[in-house]
This record gives sequence, structure tokens and C-alpha cells, in this order.
Amino acid sequence: MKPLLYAEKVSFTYPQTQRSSGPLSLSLHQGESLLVYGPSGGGKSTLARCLAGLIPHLYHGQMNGDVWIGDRNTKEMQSWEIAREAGFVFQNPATQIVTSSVEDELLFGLENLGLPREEIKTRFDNVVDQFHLSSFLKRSPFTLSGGEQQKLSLAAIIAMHPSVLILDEPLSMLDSSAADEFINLLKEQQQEGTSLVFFEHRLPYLQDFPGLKRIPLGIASNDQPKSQITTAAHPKKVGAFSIHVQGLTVSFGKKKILDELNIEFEGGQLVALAGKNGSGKTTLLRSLAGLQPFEGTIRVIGNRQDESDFPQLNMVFQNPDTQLFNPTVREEILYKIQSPNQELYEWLIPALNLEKYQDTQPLLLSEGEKRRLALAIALMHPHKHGILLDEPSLGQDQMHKDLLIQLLKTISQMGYLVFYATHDIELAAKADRMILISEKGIIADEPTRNILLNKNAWQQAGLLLPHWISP
Amino acid sequence: MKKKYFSTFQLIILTLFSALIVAAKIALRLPIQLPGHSGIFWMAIIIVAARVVLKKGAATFVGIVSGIMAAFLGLGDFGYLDTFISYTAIGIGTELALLLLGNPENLVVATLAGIIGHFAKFLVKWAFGAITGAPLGFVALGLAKAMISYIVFGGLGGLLGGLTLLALKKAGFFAYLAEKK
Amino acid sequence: MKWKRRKLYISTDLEETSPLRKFDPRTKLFLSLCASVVVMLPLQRLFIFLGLYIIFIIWARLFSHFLKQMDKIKWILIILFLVDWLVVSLQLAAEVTLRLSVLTSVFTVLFATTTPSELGLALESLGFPYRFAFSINLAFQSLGMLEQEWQAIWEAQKSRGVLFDIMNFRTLFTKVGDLVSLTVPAIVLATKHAWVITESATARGFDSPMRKPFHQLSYSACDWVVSIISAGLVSMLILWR
Repeated sequence: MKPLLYAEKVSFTYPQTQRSSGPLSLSLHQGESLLVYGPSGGGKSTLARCLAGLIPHLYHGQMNGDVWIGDRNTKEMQSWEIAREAGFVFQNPATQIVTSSVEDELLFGLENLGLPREEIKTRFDNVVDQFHLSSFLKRSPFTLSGGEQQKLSLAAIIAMHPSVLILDEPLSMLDSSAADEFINLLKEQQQEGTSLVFFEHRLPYLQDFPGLKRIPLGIASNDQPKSQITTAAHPKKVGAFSIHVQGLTVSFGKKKILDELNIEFEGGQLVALAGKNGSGKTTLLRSLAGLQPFEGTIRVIGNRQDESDFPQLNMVFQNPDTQLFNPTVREEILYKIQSPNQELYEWLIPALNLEKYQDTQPLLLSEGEKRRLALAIALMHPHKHGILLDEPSLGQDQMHKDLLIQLLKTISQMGYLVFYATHDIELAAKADRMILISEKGIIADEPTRNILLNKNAWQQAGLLLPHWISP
Repeated sequence: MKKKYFSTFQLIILTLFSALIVAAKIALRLPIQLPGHSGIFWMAIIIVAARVVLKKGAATFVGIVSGIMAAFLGLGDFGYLDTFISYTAIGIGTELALLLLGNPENLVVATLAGIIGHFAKFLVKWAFGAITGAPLGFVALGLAKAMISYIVFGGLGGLLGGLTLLALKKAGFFAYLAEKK
Repeated sequence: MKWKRRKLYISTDLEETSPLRKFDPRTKLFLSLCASVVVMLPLQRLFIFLGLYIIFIIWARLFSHFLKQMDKIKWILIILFLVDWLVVSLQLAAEVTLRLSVLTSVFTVLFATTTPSELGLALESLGFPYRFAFSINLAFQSLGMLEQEWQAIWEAQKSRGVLFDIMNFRTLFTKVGDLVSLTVPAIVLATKHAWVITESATARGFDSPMRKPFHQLSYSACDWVVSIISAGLVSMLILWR
């Protein structure tokens, strides 16, 4: 039987950075599913784009090998012809939205196919039923949760009836329960005969996917650390302190995002904050960083050198691109620091695996590298009490997540508070203490081991504790 | 198939830059009570847009789209029509200035283009007064103070646009762009 | 002094209760253009027009919008009226004030009763390319996200010690360089969003020559009646001596 999608030794090299991906060969028949996996920076997204024809249609660079959809080479097809045959689901559900309502989003692709009005109507109604979207139709996609947005993206593509679905890390922005729901939707699609190609590094979520064939990417990541990083020699230690949060309330209009929260932190703790999207994780971090107006009190006891009793915690923001504008990584890290601590810098650069990028332009780094750079910026700036990290594992593969945790543990061992918000339960499970939060407030705040055993707490938080995570 | 004048990416970049101007006008305000100060970000982004897309019509396109947005959002003081025409005039003014003066990566060119572009907005206000039949002398007198601040903030915006382009170049932005069609 | 943020989310000031919501945007554009032409008439006919215009605005439930517009320019109107009256004549003062009032408010008929996507459809049906209509919709849809990003950039730079304590012209000149720390990330983020949207739209067949819009505007009998009456009135006012 002729494959629906066939790729032969496909590789791609970007013209400016000379980063290359591949080669990848695969053959996909109707109803089959493939998983292409490999470390971050290994070129998964690039190769996914080669399969979907976005490369070479939208990118300059050197593409070797060929991709065939049915009996046509994607190089010889127009991009809208490819769109009819191969659907593409992107990593970030929020940024792939192109219209201002759920209804328009579903219609966008159908209109582009040039279908008759009646056919558009039939397909539209079917997909609304299938994905249970009837109550959302007039809403702006930006008011949906991350899971709902990703479901909408999938529905908009499924409405176009592609024979192949290419998914570029579709789970990376989703919390555990949304990821589980999304996988179930894909299983249904597979049963209906759609062929799937996953490019993913959150492998445990796909371990039960029926008939999934695995293809390891045959190249080493550009991003591997040379050796195990020694994180034992952080140059600075801090005195004991505690931070007391009492009656913390944050409202946006009439809606209370945080309502009378009480939390206590000690210096030297590694604390994870887990919760569904929209549960107030980022708002809590922003309040602790002094960026968010709030009611209640946040004060530090001990290790104070000035009159203010507000803690000095540096924040590592979710999107590193909000900070980067200097010509090199080194200048970016040292920007606006009056007298940089050279010893700290020398320790930090290898610890974050940024050694070889010190003279690189920050905008040319991969997403994972940029996140590590943002962490370096926060750590280099004077902070007395610790750091706050918002979704630090986005764009990081397992190896770099391990590296990140190792580094955060070292920083906490020096007496600093390290507090990170994440929807990645695997990362949260690595902390000493975990706070589970929902829209109703704090569900549980205990040592991580206890929380992992508390099934009731996970249920209340609306999160799924993946079965492969054990205390 | 006939090739489109702006590629899809160029069209969408210009669209988002237009929205970025309006978003800056809403989200960020300098604590200065002088007319025209919002032109700093406005001019900077238009000048960057013209250099990033490097096609005739880019600045005008940004002017028109941001003008329609600003009119919908009721951002101007003299009604929808004046708002739309003012924004469009800034786009056209900057376009013409850059056609005459050249590459805005030169800070002098960028500053002058900012002044000319922003001054086009002032001319619209003047024309608006003239159309209604108000004596031109009086209109000119009333707008004289405004004119100076339009020039100053237009120039500063142009300069910021030029500095932004240089910083973008050093930070690798154009290398990033060069990989996209 | 700190920078001021206005409000994070804004929306168009859409008047849902107006009977004009049901009209085709092209009719409303035509009405607005007619009114813009009539504004140049001499005082007597201008008064007649103003009477009809105010009745129309009240019927369309847009009088509060009209008042809001007038409130924004009330001091300019008062000063213009007084100076023109004292320096030239009462007739000129009245003419100038009325013209400015009408010109300032006339497009309320279109913008306060039309959504951006309806305007996009109208432009498409008037022969503008679909890409332009798409662009206008996309710009509106991206506004909230870009506002949040300006805020995020501002906070991120502030947290690493960039201060924007601009108070006057002199400090502004010395601080222009620091503003680059805001504009560069803003441009980069907008461009990256543009790229993802480009990929997403292309992957769903954007720019296909076969595209057929699902929603289409239709000119109803009411639209024809209102357009013809308006055209007739405007012609009468212009031609009447």
C-alpha cells in the first residue's frame, strides 16, 4: 500500500545560524501513528515543518531530501494544497490563533479550501459537535484556557479533513489533565483513520498511545553539556530568614484571583507551586516580587539590611524575550549591574551550560537556552532572599530539566528561597515542598512526598497526577 | 500564481506593528502633559516597520491600519475621521521622508523622518481647522505651541526608531528575519 | 514619577442597542460620508442639516456617544466660538463651531455600531483585497496580547534595574537610549508572534486563490431606503438656493 506521507533523508540547515536538523526518513500509512523524539535543540520542530511543507515554502535555507504527500512532492505543491492534506498543530495554542472568535477560527481553514457553502456548514456543525464547542462559538479564543485553545486548534484543523496530522510538541504548554484530554481526542482521530506524527519530548504521556511507532532523532543535540556540571561551589551564602504572607488578596475588577492566602517560607527551601492554568500561580509570584498590587501583608523576618521589610526576590519571567536586547549573552547578563560579582558569573555560566554562547547574539539562542539566560540574569542581579521562577521548564528537555533542578537545589542549599510555579508535575515533584493551588485557594501545602500521596488534594486542584510519578 | 506585493509574513508583521503602536498608546504613557508625546513610540515603530519590511508602502500600511484601529477605539480628541486621517498621514509622511532621505539606520535620517512624519499629523489638525472655516491665522497661533512639541517628539521618536534598529541589528534580529520568507 | 498605565483591556465602544447595528456597514459608511460633505454648507442649510442629524442620532441611540465626543472638545469649541465671534463675526463663529461638532462626531454612525470584522467584510465587498480585511481583524485581535506584552517588558526591565523616571524634556533626551530596552523586546515579540501566525495561517491555506467567504453581507431593503433618502436629502441641501 502506498504511504500517505513519505520522507526520505530529509534535513535542513538554516542559513544564518548554520544549525542543522535531520536527516529523517519515515513512511506513514493510513491510521498509523509515529513519534519522533529527541532532546531539545535537536531539530524536532524544524523537521516537523519539513513534513508539513512549511519548509521550504516559508523558510530560506538548505533542504535536502524530499517529502511526499501521496504521490506529490511538497516542494512542487503550493502551500494551500499541502494544507488540504496535512494539518499542523503548533506548540503554543495561544499564538496560533488567527481570528477573533471560535466560530471564525473554525471557518478560517474551511473558507480557504474554497468549499461550497453547504459543505462548509456541514463540516462546521460536525466539528462543533465532535469537540463540544457549541457553547464557545461566539467567544474570543483568548478567553479560553490553554487546554481549550489547543482543542480548538485541533478542531479547526480536523474540520479541513486532513489525512495526516503533524503535531509539534502539542503538550508542552498544557497541564496534566488538559494533556490527558488532548491525547484522548487524538486517539479518537486515529480511530477514525487520521494518521499522526508526534514530535514530542514529554514521552510518558504517549506511552499508552495505541500502535505508536518510535523514531529517535539520529543526531546529538547542539545543546548537550560537556560533562556533569558541578554545582557545589556557589560563591555566596546568606543568613537565615523567613517570609510571611498573610491575607494576600489580589483582585482584577470584581474577580478575586487570590483570596486571603497565608503562606510561610524559610530561607533554604525549594518550593514548587502547582495548579491548573488560571489558578493564580503567576499572580502569587508577581505579588512576592513586588510587581502586583495586593491587599494583605508580605514581610521578611531576619537577613534585613535596610528599613523595608518587603522581601527581595528576583523574578525569572515566563517569556525570556521580554528582556533580551543586548548584542551578546555576556552583555545581556551584566546589563545594569554596577559592580558584577565575577566569581558568581564564572560559576553561573557553566552551571547553566551557556559557556559557548557568551559572545552569541541572544536572539539567536534556542528557546531553552534563552530561558537559561533569563535565569542567569536574575541570579546575577543582587537579591537578598532568593528567586521566583515562572514556568521554568518550558522548552527544556529532560536533561536540561535535571540540570535546572540540580542548580535550583544548589541555590536553595546556600540559604536562598527558590520558589517556582509550574504546570509540569514532573518538575514540581522534584521540590522539597509543594503548594497545590486552585481558584478556590491553597489546596495543600506540605512536603512533596506527602502531597504526591494525597489523591484527594490532586482531585480538588483539578489536576491529574500522572501514574508514572511516584513519591 | 501572481506573487503578492507583501509576503504573508510581511503583511502580518506590519499588522502587528500597527497594533503595537495602538497598544503602546494605551498601555504606556509618559508623565508629560504636552500634545504629541505619544509620538515617541509611534514614530519609532513606524520607522522600524519601514526598515524591517523594506518595501514601498510599508509605513503607509502601518499608518492606515493603526488609524482604523485608533478610530474604532476612539483614541483621538477630534473624532473618528480626524484620528484615522492623522494616523494615515503619519504613515504617508514617514514613507515620503524615508524615500527622500534613505536608510533610517542613520540616526540623522531617522530623526528627520520622525520629525517629518509627525509633522504630517500636525498638518492634518491644521487642515481640519481650515476646512471648518476657522481663520488660518488663529488656527496657526493656537497650534504653534503644539507644532513645536510635535517636532520635538517626532524627532525623539525617529531617533528612538534609529537606535532601536541599531540595537536590533546588534542583537541578531535581522539574522533571525533573514531565515524567513 | 512613574509611567502610567491606562487600562489593560479595552474594547470598541460598540452600541449594541442601536437600530443601526442591523444595517449594512456600507450603508453606515455612506451616511457618514454624506454628512461629511454637507458640513461645508453655509450656515442656514447647516442648521437644517444639524436638526436632522440630531434627530437621526437620537433615533439611532447614539446621542450619548455624540455628547462624549463634544465633551472631549468642549474647550476648543468654546474658545473658537468666542474668538471668532469677537474677532470676525457671530455667523463665522457659529459656522465654525457647528462644522467642527459635526465633523468630530459624524463617523460615530459607523464606528460605534460596527465590529471590526463587519468592517472587514464591508471592505472586502467594496473590492478591497481579503488580505486587508484579514489584517484589520488580526490587528484588533492582537491588541490585548500586545498590551500585556508591553506591560511584561516594562516589568522585566524594571526588575533588572532599568528606571524610566522621565519627568521633563531634559531628562527625556538623556533617557531615549534606555527606551531601547523597551522597544527592542516589543519589536522582537511582535515579530515572533507574526511569524507563528504566518505559519499557522499558511498551514491552514491562507492566500489560497480558491477562498470563498462563508459570511457575506447583503444589502437589505432598509439599507436601500436609508441610502436613497440620505442621498436625496444631501442633494437637496446642496442644490437648494
